[in-house]
Amino acid sequence: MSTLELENVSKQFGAVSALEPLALRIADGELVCLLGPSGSGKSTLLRIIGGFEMPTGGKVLIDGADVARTPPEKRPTAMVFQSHALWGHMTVEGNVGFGLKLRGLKKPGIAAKVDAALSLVGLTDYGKRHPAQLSGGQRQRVAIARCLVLEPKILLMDEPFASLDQHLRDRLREEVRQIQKKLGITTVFVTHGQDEALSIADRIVVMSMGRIEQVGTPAEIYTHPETPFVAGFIGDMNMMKTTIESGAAMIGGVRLDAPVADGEALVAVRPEDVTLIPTPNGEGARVRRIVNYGAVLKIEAEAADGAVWRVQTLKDVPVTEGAFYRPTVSRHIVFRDDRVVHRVDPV
Amino acid sequence: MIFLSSRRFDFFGYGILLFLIFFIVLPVLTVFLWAFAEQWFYPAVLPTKWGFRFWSLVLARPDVWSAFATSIELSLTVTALSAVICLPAAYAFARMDFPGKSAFMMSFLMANAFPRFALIISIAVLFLSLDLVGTFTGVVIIQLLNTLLLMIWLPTAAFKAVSREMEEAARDVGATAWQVFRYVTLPQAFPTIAAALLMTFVWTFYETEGAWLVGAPRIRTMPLLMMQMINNQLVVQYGAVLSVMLWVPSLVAILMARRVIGGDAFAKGLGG
Repeated sequence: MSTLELENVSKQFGAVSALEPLALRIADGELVCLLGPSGSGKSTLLRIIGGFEMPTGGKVLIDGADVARTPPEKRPTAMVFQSHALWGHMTVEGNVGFGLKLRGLKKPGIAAKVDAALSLVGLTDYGKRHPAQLSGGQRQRVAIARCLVLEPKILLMDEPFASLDQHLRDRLREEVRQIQKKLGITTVFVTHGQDEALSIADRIVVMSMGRIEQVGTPAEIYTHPETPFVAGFIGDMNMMKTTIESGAAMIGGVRLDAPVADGEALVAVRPEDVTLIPTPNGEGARVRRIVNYGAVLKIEAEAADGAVWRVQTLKDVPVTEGAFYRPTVSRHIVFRDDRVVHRVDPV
Repeated sequence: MIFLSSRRFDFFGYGILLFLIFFIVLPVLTVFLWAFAEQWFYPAVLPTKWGFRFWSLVLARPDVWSAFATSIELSLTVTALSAVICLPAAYAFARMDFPGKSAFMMSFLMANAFPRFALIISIAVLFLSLDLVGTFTGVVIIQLLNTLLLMIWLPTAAFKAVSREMEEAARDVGATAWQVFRYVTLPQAFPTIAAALLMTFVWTFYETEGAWLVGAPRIRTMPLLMMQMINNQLVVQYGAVLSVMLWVPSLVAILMARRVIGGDAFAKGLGG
């Protein structure tokens, strides 16, 4: 049973602020993804939790005890590194058992625990090999076993699958999720891949420029982004600058509800929330490009005012390049001053 | 097509082989032949009388044995001292930041770019006033200076090549800073460091200029003895036998190196 709480954690590198003071609470057994572009501070935050960076200010509480000044070797955390960071001069067993050896366990005890950890990651017969004799995926499994064998309170993963190919990444991610659920281990997972975050996380922390933009479940983050950054960063989004007049925005031939004061605003619409209805005589938006993704079609339609709608439909919807359609929007968000001022969801 | 191209390659290869035989194998072979020749008169292609007579003569000389002992003692001392001084320095160069670091690193190179003989002479003059000429200590110091470049640059590169994440991973599973060095950094860097130690030993063993200018005549190493024998003796065999004997330690060293180090260590150490 382990919880992780960050209170006012901040980090300065010289004059540069890598992390603004932030707070985060992660429940026992939860898998939380830190998601953001490079330079957003997500890795710095993970390294602060792991003890590899000292926060400039704030507290890192694991089960209520502040470990912000504790060196990594004394923390109940274990980290899976992006480069797997296996020790090439040791066998797989040596790698996994090293932490136990340092703890002064006897050989039979170490062997039993190492075997259990290796079987957990599906590498039972690989103990005598050296890392150089393993594939990329196997190395990352060893790195995971090396962490799990120590029964850490918090498991940290720093873009662990970034160097693997897509297929392998999907499979390993699924396996990690299964193991994590089975062990109920509290996990912080850093990634810059939104698919990865959406598919694996209980909750996602979206970060940008050293700040937390939004914390929420994948569904919340996807359907109800709270800032333009989140709206634009996760998934495809039509982000359109517009002017609101008398409670509505006219954009790309569509009238969108916006019962707020007149003035500039930013409207966000998901491509799958746009439907194209055929029009007879050259009215509405002209389809200028259709890209087939198998299950879905991605369409670009240019409206009379020059605005371009990105639309996503199921593959069987008949759409013709060059023909005219009237776009209708079932869900939209209005942002002003980087905050949501109005939101319309389908009934 | 394949046949044609491979034949052309063979032709080129044979060319290189001939070149190597003429300039390397033949001279070495001549020395070997002389070492086992008791008589070799012109114009015979091979020695006219074979035997080990000169081996027993050389081995019976006390100056050979004392020079051998001196050389081994000198090489061991220099290698050990160089390791004690240079390895911590190399680690500092690789892992820590301090003002003048790159200037310091370059200074070792600069010293080596300087004409060696002139450098050694000026050091010898300095040593004269310090009463170090003709002493074991003096030779050790001059040889130590010779090894600095090798023993700092190679291990620095080796320590640098150990990834930070690997060290952090060790911290993460509970290793203290010292344990990280002992169980991760050092073993990772070891092949290259071993190569540097070995080269230091071999260089010191075979070095002549410094040993001669600072050590002679009281400190006599094997190469100095060999020079003396080649220069002052009418009998070629003494020098030849000593050459072959001198060849043995480096052969042993190279064989050991292949076991411990592996082929890529030198390349790695040089940043390859």
